[in-house]
Amino acid sequence: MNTSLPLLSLTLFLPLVGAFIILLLRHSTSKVVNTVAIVSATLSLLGAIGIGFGLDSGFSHVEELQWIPALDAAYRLGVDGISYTAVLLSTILFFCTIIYSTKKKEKLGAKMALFLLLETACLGVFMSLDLLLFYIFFEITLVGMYFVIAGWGHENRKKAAIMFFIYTLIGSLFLLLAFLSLYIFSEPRTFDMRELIANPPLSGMVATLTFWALFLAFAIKTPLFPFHSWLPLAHTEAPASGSAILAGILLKLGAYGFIRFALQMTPDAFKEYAWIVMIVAVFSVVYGALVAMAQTDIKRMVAYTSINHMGYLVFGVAVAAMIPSTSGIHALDGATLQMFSHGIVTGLLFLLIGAIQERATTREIPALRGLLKAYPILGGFFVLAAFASLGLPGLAHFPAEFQIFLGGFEIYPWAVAIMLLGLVLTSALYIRAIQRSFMGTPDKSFLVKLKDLDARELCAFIPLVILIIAIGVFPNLILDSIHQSVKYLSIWEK
Amino acid sequence: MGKMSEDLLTILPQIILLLTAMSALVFEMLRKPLGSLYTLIIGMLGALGLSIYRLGTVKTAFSGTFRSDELSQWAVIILSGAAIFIGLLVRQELKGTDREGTVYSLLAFSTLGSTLLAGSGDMMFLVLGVLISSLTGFALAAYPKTDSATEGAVKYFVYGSVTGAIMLFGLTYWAGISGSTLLSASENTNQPFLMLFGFGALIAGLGYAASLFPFHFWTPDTFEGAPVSIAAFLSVTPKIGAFFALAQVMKILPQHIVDYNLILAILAAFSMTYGNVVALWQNSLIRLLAYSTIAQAGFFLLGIIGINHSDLGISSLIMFGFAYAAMNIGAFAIVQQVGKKISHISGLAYKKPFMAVAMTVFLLSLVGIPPLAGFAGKFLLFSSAIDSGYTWLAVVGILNSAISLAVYLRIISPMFFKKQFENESSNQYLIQMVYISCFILTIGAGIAVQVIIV
Amino acid sequence: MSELFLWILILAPIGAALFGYIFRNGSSLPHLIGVSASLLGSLFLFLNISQSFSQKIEFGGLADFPFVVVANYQNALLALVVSVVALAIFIYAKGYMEAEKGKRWFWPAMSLFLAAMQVLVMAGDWFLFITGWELMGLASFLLIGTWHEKKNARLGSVKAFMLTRFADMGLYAGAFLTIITYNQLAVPFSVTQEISVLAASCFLLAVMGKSAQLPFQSWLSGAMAGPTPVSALLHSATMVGAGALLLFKIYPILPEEALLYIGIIGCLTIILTGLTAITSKDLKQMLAASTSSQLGFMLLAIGAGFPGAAFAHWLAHAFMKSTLFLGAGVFQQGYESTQYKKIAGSGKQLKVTHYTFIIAALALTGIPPLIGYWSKDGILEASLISGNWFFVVSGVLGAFFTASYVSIAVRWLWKGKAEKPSISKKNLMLTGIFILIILVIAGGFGLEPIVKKIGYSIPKGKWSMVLGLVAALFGLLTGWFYRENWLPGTFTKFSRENYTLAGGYQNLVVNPTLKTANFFQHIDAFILEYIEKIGYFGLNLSQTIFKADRNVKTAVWEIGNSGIWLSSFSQIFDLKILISIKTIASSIKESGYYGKKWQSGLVHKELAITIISLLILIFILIISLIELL
Repeated sequence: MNTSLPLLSLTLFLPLVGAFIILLLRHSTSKVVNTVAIVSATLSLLGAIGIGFGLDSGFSHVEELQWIPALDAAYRLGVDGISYTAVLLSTILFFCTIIYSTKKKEKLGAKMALFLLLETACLGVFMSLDLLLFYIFFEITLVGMYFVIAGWGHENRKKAAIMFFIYTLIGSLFLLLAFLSLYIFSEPRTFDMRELIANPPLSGMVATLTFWALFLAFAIKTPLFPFHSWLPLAHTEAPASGSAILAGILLKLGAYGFIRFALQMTPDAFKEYAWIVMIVAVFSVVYGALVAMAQTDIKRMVAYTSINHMGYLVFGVAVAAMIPSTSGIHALDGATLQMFSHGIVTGLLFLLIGAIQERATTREIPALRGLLKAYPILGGFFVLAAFASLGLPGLAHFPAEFQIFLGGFEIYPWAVAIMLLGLVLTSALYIRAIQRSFMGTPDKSFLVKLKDLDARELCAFIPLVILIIAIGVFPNLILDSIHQSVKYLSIWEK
Repeated sequence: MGKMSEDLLTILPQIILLLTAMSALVFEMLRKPLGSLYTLIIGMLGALGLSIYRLGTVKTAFSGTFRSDELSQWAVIILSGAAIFIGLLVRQELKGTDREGTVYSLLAFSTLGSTLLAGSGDMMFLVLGVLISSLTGFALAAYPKTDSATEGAVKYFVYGSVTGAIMLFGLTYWAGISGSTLLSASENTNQPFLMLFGFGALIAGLGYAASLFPFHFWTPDTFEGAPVSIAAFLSVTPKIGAFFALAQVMKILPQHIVDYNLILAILAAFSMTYGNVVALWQNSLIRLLAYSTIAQAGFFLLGIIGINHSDLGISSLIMFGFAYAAMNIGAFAIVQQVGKKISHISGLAYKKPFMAVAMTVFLLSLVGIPPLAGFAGKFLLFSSAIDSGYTWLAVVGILNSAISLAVYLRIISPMFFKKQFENESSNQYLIQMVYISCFILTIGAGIAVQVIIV
Repeated sequence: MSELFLWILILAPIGAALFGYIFRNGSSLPHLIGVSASLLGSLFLFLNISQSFSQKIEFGGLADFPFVVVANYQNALLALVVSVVALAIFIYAKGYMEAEKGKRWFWPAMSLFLAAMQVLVMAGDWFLFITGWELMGLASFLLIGTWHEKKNARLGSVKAFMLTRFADMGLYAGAFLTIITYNQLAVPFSVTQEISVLAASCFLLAVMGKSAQLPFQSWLSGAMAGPTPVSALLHSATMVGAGALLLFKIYPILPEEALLYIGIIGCLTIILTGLTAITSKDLKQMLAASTSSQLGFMLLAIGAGFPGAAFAHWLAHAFMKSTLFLGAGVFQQGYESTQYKKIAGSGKQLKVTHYTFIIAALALTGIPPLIGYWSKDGILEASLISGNWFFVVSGVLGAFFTASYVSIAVRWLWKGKAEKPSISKKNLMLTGIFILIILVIAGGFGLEPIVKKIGYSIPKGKWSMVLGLVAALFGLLTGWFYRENWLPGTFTKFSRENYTLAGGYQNLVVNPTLKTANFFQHIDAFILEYIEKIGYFGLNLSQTIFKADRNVKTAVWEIGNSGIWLSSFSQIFDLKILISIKTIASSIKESGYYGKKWQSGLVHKELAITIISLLILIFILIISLIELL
């Protein structure tokens, strides 16, 4: 298990090193900054791919260093199939986003440094095997995102950024509370997540309260109705690259948290209240789709669909909490795959919307027209991503959602039926948007004379497009490692 | 005699502080303020080094009236360090003014008072500590002789004398019940009401020094009137001294008679909420920070509550005290450089990016964002509160962290997102030195927590 | 070897689609190559496979659930039919699209369409089946929207996608139920256990959507906005055919009760869409309605318990309907319209097309020895055997309607005068039609052995033959003389517009959904507002507290000030007192002498004075307190 090369740490801190180099070379040209950023993101991506070799069912590549021995908090890293999915997603999406961001001249160095810092933070969250370490990285993502929104956002950015920060900080503070109770009631006291997973320390009232604190924290982050208000606002104001990261990765922190903490560390309480979580998730599915349908701003629309997709995901986790059998495994497999799928699909959608906004200078669906004619490649990518997002088979979302539904069908057929309706609603809203904004004849006076995607944008988008198709056709690429870990989770043993 | 010398050895750090203060005064008489500053720095370093060396040993002196334990040793470490930083800030701000040297001497005196407080095992030490630290405080606050400074100092004085009197009055009851001024003597008493009364009076006295709600009213005005460096000092040294003293008291006080913790918890909740909520409306940086120190005072109480119930209590106090000193002095140092109004700090990121980043780090550390020192402190504080069964208080504290974010964002956001930085102050390298050191400490202590928690 | 052919037949069109998508040159060549390769692949697979042999290939897939493609006789046959029809249509389309816009869009979508159908045909598990099914939906969306600058093309494509997508949820649910029942992802072949009626109903919903059965038939007429080759492909061996194909796949596990429902849906569709076809004023609209009606026949056969008959009709219909559509496309190219009025008499100008059209039409009517006769006869016999009079009546009525509407169309094309149209690339189009018409004429003789080889049978009987022929002939005559005023006008309109009740989907589904969406949007805004209100409430509260703080401070400060004022006042007072005391003192000095006795060191007396003055002081204090209160 313990390889001589600390692969995880390398992957984790490479972006941070890049960020420092950029800060040190503060007065260098944008070319240097771009190079440094891209190189460190690429190296990190390669590292993540390297991690993929040598995964087994438990936590692999474990690294452990003493940190606060008095509290049994340590620098513990490790990945299993579930967290590896998220790690891979983060490195890929950051790679693409950083390439996409290379064009913007404004405060480029700071932006790149911030993105690289965010990358380290996100990777840290997924790699941590220590509650304290997890929390630290978790919070850094918050701060980083605040500055991305407030620094490079649109008109209302400050309000959005503050709302995002405070809203999600409240969530993460409850997370802290839950972590403290996990720590204090563990015997002997430890922050080691492996210990806490192997022997969930809580029971009774404390477990219930802790579970709800976890739920609140992750429901805000994910987000689920009614804790989602920060999301559309943040997305409308954030820059395209920021939105891609926000929706693509930061939302996954909540999803990952549901699996890693709520499900694995308070399994009994989760099981008891899974039905509530399930109702909230199902409602979020329908709610997100319906509200998305009513939007006229295409970015806001996509933002709301995230609520819908995350609803499926949380539903899958709730199912896994409820039935420890093959169905539960299916649902959890699907939920984990959904993390990846949603990341690449929504990440691509937001980046594309950024590209559209640059060209058409608006995001209003009624004002946009004939984008497919005006920008065939851009439009083609968007249509593809939209179809992926509405769950078309052969594209990334379908295998995930298929398994979630399949798993859930055994105990909650009606919930799945409702969610299938949600799927129809999602289809309707995307088709409506495509029909209104992408089909038809372009409004010549309206579109700025810009060319279709340039090389930079193509480099950013094509990997994602390929992945969307690849995951749709060969879900086992990712699913195998997920399943291998999910199968042996300790929660099934009861 | 052997006993006596041993006792004196035990309080050697305090003696060093005393000597430092005296020698600084001598230099002032010689009209050599720089000499006073050097004396201050050397003396403080001495005390600091000695205490670091002594960490881990527990002793009492003068038949238990003074304790040289973890708390008091760390108090010396933190407060001497703080005094050095403050000395540098004072030098920058008050250089060349009349009687500059007295300030250094007073700093040393006040530090002495606070360290005495932090080690007190006897009521007389409590009184002595409060008196020394507050009397020097009046003098420091009134130093510039401007109207506002005088007004602030007078307020400080009035509140101080009233609460001091109350404390003295209340403590006489304790002494009366137990028949001794030793805190540990109250073990066998059976007079809950009188004990409670005495405790209330004690809280008044210490709470005033720590600017705890509702004894905080002097804080904003005094801070505003005093030189910024002095405000920084008043926000850190007496506060830490007072809280460590309270911790010492709580450690000894028999808990079975009265539930002191409930009182403390209520006070903590009020202080946190009150400070944050009021800080939301401040337009002056210094007043905002003043109210924020009131809020932070509430957080200290979480650790005190846990002192008897959780093994994290003491560590949390020390950690938070350390973090608080570093981040608060850092923030005040930057305020000293840029000016006292929020408008002074807008656009700082464009002119002095590193300073803006440092300020952000201090403020986020005050919120309790990891991996900064403030987080480590608050994290331990919450743990100790939950451990002691005060989960609700931890929840209040956590919600307050969220409110405090809103407070500090009022500073952070204009720094980065407004472009009207006109304040063309020259680089003041002493300040730079201080805030950079604090910056390193704030980040370093957050990561290297294990150094402090053993 | 057969594995290789299998992959070729699936991957060739996929490759062509990708090529077209990536290089975007609008050339038809890669797609023609793709479809040819697919045809060759399926042909060799078909030849390579014996009746009993079936090869399962597992690959990739979900965890524990590998994907399965099945190469057996039935699948190979279906794939072959699909690719033959597709090749004919592709060749035709090369001619048809020559002068049209949107080739870059059209060709990859066509290849995708074909690929999706092949995946669906070969799929041995639910995942792949759904994938093919849905990809076909996507492809049909794209194809119908080929000319998306036209509004009706956009609306038609959206309608087609949404209606089928909605019905597809039935497929999902049915598939989940089936997977859970058998605990395998693979589509079960024949097992002892049947699926529940609920699952069957779910599947039926999917079939109704895809195969345009009532009440989902209207998307087909909207789909006419696309290029005609698209319609030909959509209405024959793919898309609508997929619905029936699903029924073939699940027939072995269908419960008895479900068959009845399937049959009833089929019967209703036969009659009602048959009427729509009769009342239609447009050649392509007529063909669209006819498709629903013919698919209804297949459902009827399955409902009657004879999937063999349905299967035969599926094959026959694939050839017949594509021929008819391709013919219609030629007329459309010639006259820019397919409305009967505009193309009246054009048959005389485009004779070859017209003859093939007539042959296909007669085949559809069920005139021997054309292909349609064999299958329709089988269906009628099946309904007779089932003994359900509703089935029988519907079948006969359906045959009658079929004959009528093709007769109407042929009459329109024959009667009247039309100008000579100019059509470029007519030869290519005709080539496509010829390939198909050969199969329409000769294919009928091969139907029975093929169906038998699969393991089904086509029932035969005298009565059904008589009934069918009579109905057909009668229908042909009726159609030839049919006038619009034969039926009440309101009914004609109602029927022609696909029985749109209460504003149709727009009013019944779309608008309420949008309204609900807006309602939820309001809720969302409300929540946001509420949260902001909480924020502002907090801010106001904090301001109040801040003010209170200031007031308390000021009050304390004022008390202090007044103390100072008092003290200064008392200082003055003090001075005066001092002076007066001095005077008093001096006077006392004088009088001291007298008072010596008074000030005599009698401590108790002095103490008494002190106490009295203290009491007075306390009294004053109390008074002041009362005043304060």
